[in-house]
Amino acid sequence: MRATQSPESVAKASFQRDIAPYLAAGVRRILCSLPEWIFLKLCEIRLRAGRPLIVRIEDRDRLVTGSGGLAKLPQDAYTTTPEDLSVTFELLVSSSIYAWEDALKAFHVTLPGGHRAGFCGTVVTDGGKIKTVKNVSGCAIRVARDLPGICSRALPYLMGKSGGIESTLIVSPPGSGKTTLLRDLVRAISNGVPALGFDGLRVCVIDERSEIASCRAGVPQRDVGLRTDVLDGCLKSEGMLLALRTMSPDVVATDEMGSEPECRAAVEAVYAGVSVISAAHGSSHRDVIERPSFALFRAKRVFKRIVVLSSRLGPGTLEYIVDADVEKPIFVGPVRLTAGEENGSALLISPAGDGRKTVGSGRHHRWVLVAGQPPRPGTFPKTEHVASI
Amino acid sequence: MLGNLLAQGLSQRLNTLLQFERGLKILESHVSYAATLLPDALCAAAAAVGGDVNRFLSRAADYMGRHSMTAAEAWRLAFEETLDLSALEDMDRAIILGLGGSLGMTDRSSQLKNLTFALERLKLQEAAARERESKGVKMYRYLGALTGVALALLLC
Repeated sequence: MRATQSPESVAKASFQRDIAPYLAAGVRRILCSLPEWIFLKLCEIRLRAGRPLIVRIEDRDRLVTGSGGLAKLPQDAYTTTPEDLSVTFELLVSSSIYAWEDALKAFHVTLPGGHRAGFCGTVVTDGGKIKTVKNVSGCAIRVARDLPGICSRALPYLMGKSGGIESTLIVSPPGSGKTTLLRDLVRAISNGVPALGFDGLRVCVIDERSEIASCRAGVPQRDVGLRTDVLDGCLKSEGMLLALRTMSPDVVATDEMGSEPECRAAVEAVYAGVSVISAAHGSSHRDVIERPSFALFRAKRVFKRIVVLSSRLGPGTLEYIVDADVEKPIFVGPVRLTAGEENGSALLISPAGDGRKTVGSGRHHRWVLVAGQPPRPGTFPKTEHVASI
Repeated sequence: MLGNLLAQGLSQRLNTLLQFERGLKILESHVSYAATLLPDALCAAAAAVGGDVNRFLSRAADYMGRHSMTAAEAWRLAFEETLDLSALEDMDRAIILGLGGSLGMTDRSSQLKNLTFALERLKLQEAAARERESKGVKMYRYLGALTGVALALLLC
C-alpha cells in the first residue's frame, strides 16, 4: 500500500519533475534544497544576472542562499551568474530556439505542467518588428496551478435556453483572473456539468499566446476538457475561421480579443451558430463595449453575457454579470471565486413554492428567486437568493 | 588479416558518413519544416539510421531530455562515448563536432543553413572516402595478402 504524500511533498515532486530540469545545475541544486513547505506556496522564481536569486512565496519576495535557505540580506543570498541565465534559457527552450520563434517574440515559453517562463534581455528586431531576445539577463518562472471549479458561480448565468452557452466576454484589469476563469469555463463546458443538466460541448481554443491550454510541443499542459481542441500559437483572426471550417465546434474560446480582424472573425463565428467566449482588459463592461474596436460587436450584438472581474476581494473577484442585450446585470457580487466548488453548488436549492420568479433558464433547469426581494427593474437578485429546479 | 582490417576501416568510415548524412537530412526536415524540439528531432533522426550514428543521436537526445544538458554539451559527450573510436577521420570529426556548437540556438533559417553546410561538407568527405575505399580496399587486401606470403616465405 502506498503511503499518502503530504501536499508539500506533492508540490515539491511536481517542481522537481516540471521545473527543476530546466534550470542551470547550480540553481537547480539550490532550489531543490529549499524547505518542503515553500513548494506549496511558491508562485515565482526570479533569476537576474549578477543579482540575488529570489523566490516569490505567496505575495512576498524571499532571497535564497547558496545552500537552499532563505536569507534576509542580499549579501547572504546566492548571486545568479550570467552563465546560470544563459544555460537556463537554453534548457527552457530545449536548445531549440527555432521551435519557439513565435513564443520568443512575446518573450516567453511554456514548460510541462503549464508553468511559464518569461525573459528579459536584448531585443533583436527585424524591420522594426521584434524577432527574438538575446543576451538574456532576467528570467521569471511563474508556477502554474489549476483552479478547477472556479467558474461554478458564473457558469449557470452563461447557459443558453437551448442547452448551449451564450457568447460571453470576460472583462477584468490585468492579474484579476481572466485567463484562469476562461480556462475553467472551457474545461467545464467541454466536460459538461451533470449537476446543471448541462452536457458537454465541443470547444475549440484559439490559443495565440499559449496561455489558455499552455501547450508545449502541441500538447496541452492544462486540463481544458475532454471535448476541447486547441489551435496553439495561431492568430485569433485566422484560427477562429479555421476552427469553423475544420473542427465544427459548438464554442470557440480565445483570450484577449481586440483588433478589427479578430472582431470580424468572431462575428463570422457567431453568425455560423458558434458561441464565442473571450476576454478583454477593462474594469467595467462599459470600458469595453464603448471601445471603438468593439463597435462591430455592439452593432452585431455578438456577446450576450459580460462577466466582470476585479481584485477587490483578491484575484478572481466576480463583480457582476451583465445580460448584454438589455445591458442589465443578472448577477451582482462581489464574490471571490474559489477552486473546488462543485458546479451549481453556489445556488441555493429550495423546495418549489408559490410566487417564485424565474430569473433564468437552461435546457433542463430554471433559476427561480427563493429569497430576498423580487428584483426591481434594472436590478437583479444575488446568487444566494436564487435556486435551481 | 591486417589488410582486411585496414580495408574494413575504410568501409566503416564511408558507412558512418552515409548514415550521418541520412540522419542530418531527417534532422533538417524536423527542424526546418516541423519545428520539432531538438531532443525529439534527434530521436526521429536516430530511428532512421543504424549503427554508431544511431547510438550517437539517441544518446545526445537522452542527455538533453533526461539529463538536462544543453545541445552542445550533449552532442560533445555523446560523440566522445559513441564515435570517438570510430573510423572517422579528423576532418569528419571536426565537421560533426562543429555542428554541435551551433545546433538549436538560432532561428529556423539559420539552422537550415548550418545543417545544409554541414551536410555539404560531409558529402565532400563521403566522396573522398568513396574514392579512397574503391582504391584502398583492393590495395590493402593485396598488400595484406602479399605481406602474408612474404612472411610465410621468410618463416620457411
